[in-house]
Amino acid sequence: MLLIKGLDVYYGKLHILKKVTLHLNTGEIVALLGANGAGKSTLLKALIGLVKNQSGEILYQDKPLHHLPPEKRVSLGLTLVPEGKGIFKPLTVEENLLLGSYSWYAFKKGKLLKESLDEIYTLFPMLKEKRKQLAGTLSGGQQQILAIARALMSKPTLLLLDEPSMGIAPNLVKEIFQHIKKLKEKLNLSILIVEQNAKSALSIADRAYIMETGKIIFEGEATSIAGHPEVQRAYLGRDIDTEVPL
Amino acid sequence: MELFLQFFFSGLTVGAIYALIALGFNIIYNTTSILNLAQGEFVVLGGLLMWYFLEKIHLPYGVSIILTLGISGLVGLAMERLSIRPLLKTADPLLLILITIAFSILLRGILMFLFGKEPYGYPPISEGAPLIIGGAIIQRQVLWIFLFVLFTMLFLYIFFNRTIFGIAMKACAIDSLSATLLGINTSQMVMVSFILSGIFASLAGVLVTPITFVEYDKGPLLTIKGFTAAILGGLGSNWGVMAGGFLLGILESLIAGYIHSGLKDALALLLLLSMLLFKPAGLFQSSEQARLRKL
Repeated sequence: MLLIKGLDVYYGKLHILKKVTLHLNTGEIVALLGANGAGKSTLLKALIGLVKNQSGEILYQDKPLHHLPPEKRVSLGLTLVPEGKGIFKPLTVEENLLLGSYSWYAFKKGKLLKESLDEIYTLFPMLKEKRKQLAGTLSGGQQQILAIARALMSKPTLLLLDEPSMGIAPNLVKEIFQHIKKLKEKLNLSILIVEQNAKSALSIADRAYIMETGKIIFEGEATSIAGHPEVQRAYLGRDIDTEVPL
Repeated sequence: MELFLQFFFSGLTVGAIYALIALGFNIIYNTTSILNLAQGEFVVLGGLLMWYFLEKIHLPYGVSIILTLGISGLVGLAMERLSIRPLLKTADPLLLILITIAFSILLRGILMFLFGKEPYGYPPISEGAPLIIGGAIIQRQVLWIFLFVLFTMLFLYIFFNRTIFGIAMKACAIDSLSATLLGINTSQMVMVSFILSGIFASLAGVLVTPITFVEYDKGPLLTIKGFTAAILGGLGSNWGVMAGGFLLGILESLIAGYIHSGLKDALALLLLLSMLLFKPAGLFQSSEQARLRKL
């Protein structure tokens, strides 16, 4: 459903993404891994239309995207949950969720809006409980759930997640990832997830790509990547050669 | 006591006008982080257009008000399209503020060209003997002013809390990048903020002209007063800047009444300077709040 071919992105003169090629099939979770500064977030920004200076091809459901502004891409069904969540802290939880529906909301769709809200509240009862609270009063993990829930309000077909585990207590990370996996199955989503926490991401992903300095250097099944010694040593922060057996 | 009440009510009247101007400042500030220093000219525009429709081509009062506000909204739109939008993404805010000054000079020139230099006035919304409350004399127009300001507040409350468009405008003010990610067209929001701000300032002109008259060069002083009100209440919060408007109006009126009327304008400038020096976030919010909580 998503096909990126030879994507180049520049920030000024800096060549950030170099001929990136990547695809994602319907219903897949694909993890994009790599060290800090490898260009993972830039790739997501290019997909949603925030990066101007780009060349190459992005096809989404066989339609070219590169000339469309972000709001058009959102109406086509792409949604990005940005790094750091990007929720509106001074607004209430419910207002945040409402804004998720901005891309399709119209005066006559009040009923549909209510149904979507109910659907989200059934998925995340925690949000229903706190719907009148300011979003800034939620904990980090709850804010991340709100950010994902808000993205779902736009009725996406492809969800782009940027570092969903960042700034969240380690014991909650697992829970968030289980949520993501459940959502995919329930809502028939495709998900592209960028993570530094490679282990968690690989535990729910079908396939994975590894990026280094703007290039894709490895592509494969999630299980095979997790077990690949070279990859583990270099990108997952585990040096198995020197690891002392217990 | 009667004297105090008299000063108090006339302060509230002027304050209502400042509140509307400050509101225009705030709405644009929230979506763009720039100050529209042509606000005062929009007040003058409102008064002069109203005079034209009412006295020159003799339209009914209600129709004149609607036409005046509509045209002022369009002028706000034109201002945004022609001078702000082409530069908004690339230019420094300071440059954009200078552009609004240029626009104010242009608008003032056009108004002088069209209407000349004499003062204009027209009858108040409803004629009749003034009311007397607690010994203070209150013109009927003052009640209309309060009514309209109340309506404006109600409109703002509903718009920013009950409509998705208003909530989206708040979202743009808080974090325009995240708003873009939700499919909110941020430049559309900027456009709407210029239209609204033009309408509010012009409403101020429409309401106050029967009391004070209007001439083409009244704008700059009104801009300063509105700006002082906005700073006093704290830019970022609609309710704060409106409260700032009333406060400034009352203080001015008391000073003019009890000490000397020449001090009226000096007071505004003094307040403006001392607020900017000592409490730039305004009376009602901390600097933390000012940064985090807009609207």
